[in-house]
Amino acid sequence: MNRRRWLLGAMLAVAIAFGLGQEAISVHYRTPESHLLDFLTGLSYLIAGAVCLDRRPGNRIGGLMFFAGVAWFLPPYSILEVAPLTVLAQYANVLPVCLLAHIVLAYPSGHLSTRLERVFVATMYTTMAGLNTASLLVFDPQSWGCAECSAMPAPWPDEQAWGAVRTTSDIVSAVLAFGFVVAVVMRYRRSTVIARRDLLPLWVGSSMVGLLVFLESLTPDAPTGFPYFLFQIRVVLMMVVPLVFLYGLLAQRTARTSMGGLVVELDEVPVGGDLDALLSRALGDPNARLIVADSTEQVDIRAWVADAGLVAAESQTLTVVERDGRELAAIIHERSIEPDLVAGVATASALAIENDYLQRELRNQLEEVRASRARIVAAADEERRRVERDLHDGAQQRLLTLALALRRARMQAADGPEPDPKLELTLIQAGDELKLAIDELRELARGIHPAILTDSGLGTAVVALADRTSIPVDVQSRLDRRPPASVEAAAYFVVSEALANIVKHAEADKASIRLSCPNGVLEVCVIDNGRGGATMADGSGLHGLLDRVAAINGTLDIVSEAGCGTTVRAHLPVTEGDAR
Amino acid sequence: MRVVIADDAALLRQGVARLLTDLGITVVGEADDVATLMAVVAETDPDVVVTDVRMPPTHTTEGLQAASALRRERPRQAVLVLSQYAEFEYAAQLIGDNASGLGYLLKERIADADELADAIERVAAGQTVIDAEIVSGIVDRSRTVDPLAGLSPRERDVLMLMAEGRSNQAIAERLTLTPRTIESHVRSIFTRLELTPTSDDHRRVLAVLTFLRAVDGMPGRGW
Repeated sequence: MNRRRWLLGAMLAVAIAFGLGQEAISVHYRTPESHLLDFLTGLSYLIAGAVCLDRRPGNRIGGLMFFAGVAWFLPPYSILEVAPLTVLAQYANVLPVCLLAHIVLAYPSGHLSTRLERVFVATMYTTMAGLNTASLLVFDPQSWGCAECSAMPAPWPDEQAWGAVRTTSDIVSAVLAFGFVVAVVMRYRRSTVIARRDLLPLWVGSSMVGLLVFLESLTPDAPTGFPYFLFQIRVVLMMVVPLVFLYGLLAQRTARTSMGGLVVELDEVPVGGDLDALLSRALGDPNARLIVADSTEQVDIRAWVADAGLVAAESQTLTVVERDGRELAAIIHERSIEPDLVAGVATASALAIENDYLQRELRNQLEEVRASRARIVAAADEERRRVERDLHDGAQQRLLTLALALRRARMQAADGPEPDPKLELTLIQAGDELKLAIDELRELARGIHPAILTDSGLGTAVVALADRTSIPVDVQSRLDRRPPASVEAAAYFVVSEALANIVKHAEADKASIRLSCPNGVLEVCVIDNGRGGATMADGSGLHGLLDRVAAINGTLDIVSEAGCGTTVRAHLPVTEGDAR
Repeated sequence: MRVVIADDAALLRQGVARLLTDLGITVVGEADDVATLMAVVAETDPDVVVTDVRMPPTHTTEGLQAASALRRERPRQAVLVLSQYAEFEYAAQLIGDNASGLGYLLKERIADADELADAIERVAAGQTVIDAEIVSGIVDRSRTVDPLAGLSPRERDVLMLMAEGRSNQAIAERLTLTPRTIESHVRSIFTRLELTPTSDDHRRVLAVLTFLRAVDGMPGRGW
């Protein structure tokens, strides 16, 4: 509980005590039912006012209502015959009704929305204040011989004048009551569907109060009979009206619950899905729309929505959905919807939109990373081809040239005018070494990127690999067209690595390779009958190939139960357009 | 013997040319790409074309394409391809189904004068030459069912030399056996492998290679 609540609670307690006090003072003047009705009516204003002040501190309706409650309890204090209280009580007599009219017209925003309403309320307060002042100046019943009447001396006691004031007061009350009913009807006609729906009970109730005040004004004063009956009905209604306000507040809480529902539902809406329906439901406004800014760039969404002419009806307004000072979107909704609810929905929308942005951004980044990885692998493949070419055309050619030169030197050593057998032997040994170097270089180049893969395709290259393997390898290739170079390379290196693993670790005596391409996915299977138990452990050659396979959106898995051989399987999507 | 040499590496080409000259072979023309080679061959009508397998523009297997282009225009043109690739598939592509006068030799053999001269002479004579390393690769290949398992070690040696494209006479010399012994080995091999006997050396190469290829592990010409 914060200080504000403590203060409100204290205020409420004091006001209730004030109410109880006046009931105690007036105990000889009223029936028990009258007491109860009176107290409950005042109490309903006080409580509704306090709750309203608590929930919506910025709205002046709470204060007005609380004030009306206090004013309601004030008049009986005139019995105490303390001059200031009597004066205040005089004004307080009509104040609750005036305040009620003011509240009804200002509900729910707390502000009077039209000039006419403002004029009406101002007129109401001033005429009532004026009439009561006039009454105070001339009303002095004791001086007119009323012994039980309160002894409130008036400066210019004048029964006739007082009669005139009373008559004027009745006429003014009737006019004002009628004016109030008209104002309410005008408000109703001006309102939107949801505003009508939400405010109807309040308007009906307050209009009836207005009508009753009107009728009361036209009937003579009497403590019993028809006028008193009307008065009682009015009091009941006046007691009910704050309860209707309170219901409105509680309905707002229900709206918050529906906002909780909105948050849950938002979670289920796919990214980029339609939020309007959810929004409409949460706000209770069938025409509510969420306008999301197209980009994450800063935009002036108000101007943008205005330019697009999206706020269609006069009754609609726009609430900007912000997050961290960035305008993400705008909610177009009926003006009459509780600002709290709109704010809540805006926050929920902001979360959803931001989530949407983040996901989209994430997807874009992922796509970018994927593309970049594919490019890196493609570049690495190209680099391997280049290295292979360079080895053949550079180093190997030079070594061959060198071999030729050595051969000539050897012939010269052998066949020259002075044969040198020792030199010849050295040159022969050098030549043999050189031959080994050339062989090794050839195999090295082949391992880096076999030329046969580039110009004869995967099937042939895999057969050539199988030929070089020390155990029998059965190859079955069912490819009717060549996959893209990146796919061929990935498949080739998977087979190459799998075969190398088989020879090194599997203790298999045969293996088989299956290449097929059903449904646009190249399937590569390398199966052996060895001891199994192989894993794609970090550091193994296959693990290194995971990245290469993933770069072309492929998968690589290994099935290797102990004693049941090993199956290495790669699925590599072949993009239709890329196939050669 | 008149020879045209094609190789885009000038230094190496000149080296080979000098070597061949030393061996008493006349180098009548040189080329550094396929188009020049075609022109020089048309002009000089050599006995043998010795071409590198890698030439511009892609530096992969232009020599093989040059050989087949030459053979389309001059069906009897003898061509010896010097290759950096010890790939049986390339040798098979080269000889196709008319092995006569074609050879596929690893390029490093140029350091061994006798081997190079021998290969040139053999293709000039209409025989077939396949590098021993490639033949041994295909013969030694591991197979699930090894049809060569029934051959004696001596018969295996003979089979490999047959696959290299050597004649009975050459095989006899290589193995220091009499031609008659070789003939009986060859007959025995053909019987065991259920091949149709043929005395024509280059046809015999094809038969043997086809047999070796057809055994498991080697797909058709699929990709």
